[in-house]
Amino acid sequence: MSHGPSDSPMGDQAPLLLENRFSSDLQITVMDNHLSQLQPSPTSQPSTPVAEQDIMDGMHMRTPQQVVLSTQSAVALKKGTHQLIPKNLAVTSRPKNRHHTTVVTFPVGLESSSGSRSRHSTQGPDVSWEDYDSDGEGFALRRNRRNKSYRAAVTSLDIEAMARGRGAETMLRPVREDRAPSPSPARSPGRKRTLGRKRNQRHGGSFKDAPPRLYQEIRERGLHSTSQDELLDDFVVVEPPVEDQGIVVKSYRPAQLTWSQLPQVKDTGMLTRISPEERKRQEAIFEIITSEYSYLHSLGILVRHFKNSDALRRTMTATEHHHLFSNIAVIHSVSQRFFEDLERRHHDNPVIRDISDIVQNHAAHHFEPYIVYCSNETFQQRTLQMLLGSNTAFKETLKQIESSSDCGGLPMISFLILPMQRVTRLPLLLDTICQKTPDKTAEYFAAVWALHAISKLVASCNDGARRMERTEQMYTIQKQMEFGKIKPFPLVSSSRWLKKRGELAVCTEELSIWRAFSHRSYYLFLFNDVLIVTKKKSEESFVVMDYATLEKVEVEVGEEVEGRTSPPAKGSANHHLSFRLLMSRNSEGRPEQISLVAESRVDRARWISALTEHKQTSVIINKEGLPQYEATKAYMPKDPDELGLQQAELVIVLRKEEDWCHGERMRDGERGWFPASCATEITNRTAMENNVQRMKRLRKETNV
Amino acid sequence: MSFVPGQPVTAVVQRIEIQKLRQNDHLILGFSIGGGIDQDPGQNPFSEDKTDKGIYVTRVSEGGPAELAGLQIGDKIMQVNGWDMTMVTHDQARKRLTKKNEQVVRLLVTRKSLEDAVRHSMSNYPK
Repeated sequence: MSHGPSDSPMGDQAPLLLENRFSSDLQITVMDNHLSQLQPSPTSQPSTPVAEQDIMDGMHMRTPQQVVLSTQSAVALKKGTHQLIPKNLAVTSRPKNRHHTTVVTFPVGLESSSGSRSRHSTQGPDVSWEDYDSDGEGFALRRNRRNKSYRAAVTSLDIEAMARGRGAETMLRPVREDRAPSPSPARSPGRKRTLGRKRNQRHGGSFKDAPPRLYQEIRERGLHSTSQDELLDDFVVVEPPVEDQGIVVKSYRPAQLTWSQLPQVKDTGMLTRISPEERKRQEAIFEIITSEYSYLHSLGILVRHFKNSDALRRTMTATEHHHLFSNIAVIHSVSQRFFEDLERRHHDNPVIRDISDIVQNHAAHHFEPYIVYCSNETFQQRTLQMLLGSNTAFKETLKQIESSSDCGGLPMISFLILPMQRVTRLPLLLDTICQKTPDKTAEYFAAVWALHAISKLVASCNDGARRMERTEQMYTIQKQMEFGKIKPFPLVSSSRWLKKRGELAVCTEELSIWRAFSHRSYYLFLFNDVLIVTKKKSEESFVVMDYATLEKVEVEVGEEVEGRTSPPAKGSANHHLSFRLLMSRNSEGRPEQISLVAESRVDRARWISALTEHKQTSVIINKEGLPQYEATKAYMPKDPDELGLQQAELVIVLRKEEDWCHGERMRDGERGWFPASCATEITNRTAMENNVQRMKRLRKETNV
Repeated sequence: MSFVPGQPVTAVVQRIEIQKLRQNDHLILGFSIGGGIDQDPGQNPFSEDKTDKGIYVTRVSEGGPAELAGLQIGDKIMQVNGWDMTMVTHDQARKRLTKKNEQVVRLLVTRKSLEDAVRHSMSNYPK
């Protein structure tokens, strides 16, 4: 929906800000005016469509009860001379329950009189945080939106613009209509100067008209397999104020959230000509483009403000700087080229035939830097932790940069993980397109190929990251181990990695005499093919007591043991926390057994599942029956047997033990433990069905 | 199953003979396959080696001919009626299994437990 024109020029006089607050007065006047004006033209009823939007609770205007669709209203059709403004708009601060942001337009005179009042500052932060629906990041203002999950890479108001505009406007003359060339026909010609809007001079207002949101905050609708029919938001149409009201009015320009709202799509009546399925496909394609734009924007911030910051560079060594940022600049330029290709395709024709070829081309040939960047992830994380922990100059400088408005108050770490996030989301977004493409067409096959290409890339990224991590881990551990009297075991191997490590107390009553006095607890290292039992000498050094290959290790759960050597002690032996390790062939070639006590049920469950994992030949047959959980917040794995989760990631839960869950990540089948607090169960059966279906699609399966 | 690049694959296999069942106008076997040289091997939850592009059994229908014959989920199919299945595309695999004029399919499948069982029995042998 476009907003219509306002033929009435905005008044130049500088109204007192206070007047705005007495909005009731304002309203009545306005309403009267409108009423008188509107009677002759009963079709102009912006109120009705406005009321439909459930935004304006201040609407009192009731004109003849003709239901006019907002697309048919005089406002949209650009008729009528006056428009209504809901009370809420005629105030300085934004109403909390708007759907989308707007351009704030107001006469400059106002500004100079108030001396660029704090309105900007109040509005700036207000506006931006309101718009960003970041879950639980601290700016969680829940808004009454219909389509909550999808925000395109556009909001018309942004802080940068505000910040820039603030300085400029006091010197500028008030409103000139021609100052804001309006490429989009939907814009009101009477529109006042809009602050700091990046004007996209290309024909047909583009989604790039306003600086995009940060990628951290958007959540692509295409990620949800359960997104129902994409209802278009009906956009509110509110116009700039009546001439004698120099009030601050938020005029709504529809934020181009979806492809269907693009002016060039609406105006050419495309929507009526294409099928709903095709429309959804176009939406999905458009979503990739806009999300890439937002991602590019965030990357740009990372490069400009963090990487190229000299102040930050001075606080650390060159190696650290390299480890921290790696080749992010290359990724930025790669993403830029990708986006440019996409955009060019978009501009050729708003109805895009296909982007799969672009995606495939880039994924296969240009996205290698992603593999490098993802492989570097462990170094990056470690360097960052170390710097934050020990380097105060770094911490201070970083805090300063992070608090600048450009970064949206988000920590640098959230920017650093952007490439990983993006590259793992792309297959899901592409899969959405595949779904909406009619089968057996050329586009379908192209989309499937593109999906394969990008999936392969993601797999390489994962592999790279994992390999780096493991190799390094093995070296570190090798260095820390002392074999002492035990026959040395060659630890470092490219096919070995650490699965779990930890301290376990020894069950004292079970042990034979000569051991009971010397050892209280063992520190165990469980690798994928060998178990090493050590005694911890210090944080960094361990003395190996024993080891055995995993095939020779059996686990017995405490309750079943019927006191082989001595009767079980009463009370003190926590049977529900103990288990035994039976090694049929240890380092010296003879059988050995150790009784261990875990700290909690969870701990014991984790150890047992880790120790017996290699024996599990039967995979869970019926994944459909298992509960599915969705991660509400991201979880970084701290132990090797834990599962890392990104926001909104789907997991199938295999076991639940106290407050930890053992699950399988749907994305790639990885298994691990994670705290139950990070995820909630999906109870919607359709959603669960869809998820299972999607998982199958990403792994092709045929019934015979 | 040991895979040494450049050498023939060796595996402990089990022969499974499945009689196709007529259902409406299809002949079905009662299981699902995944994998293939054109598919992404990293997504295979059953393979030990994540670069294995072989054909794996991903689902076995309850009470179907495959289950009755002893096919298990996670099995890797090595041959079908003498045709090799270790280096085929997903579609080729499907075709080999769904030939209309064949009533019976004889599979050679392998799974880890077979290997373990053999090794276990061999290790007991010297005693």
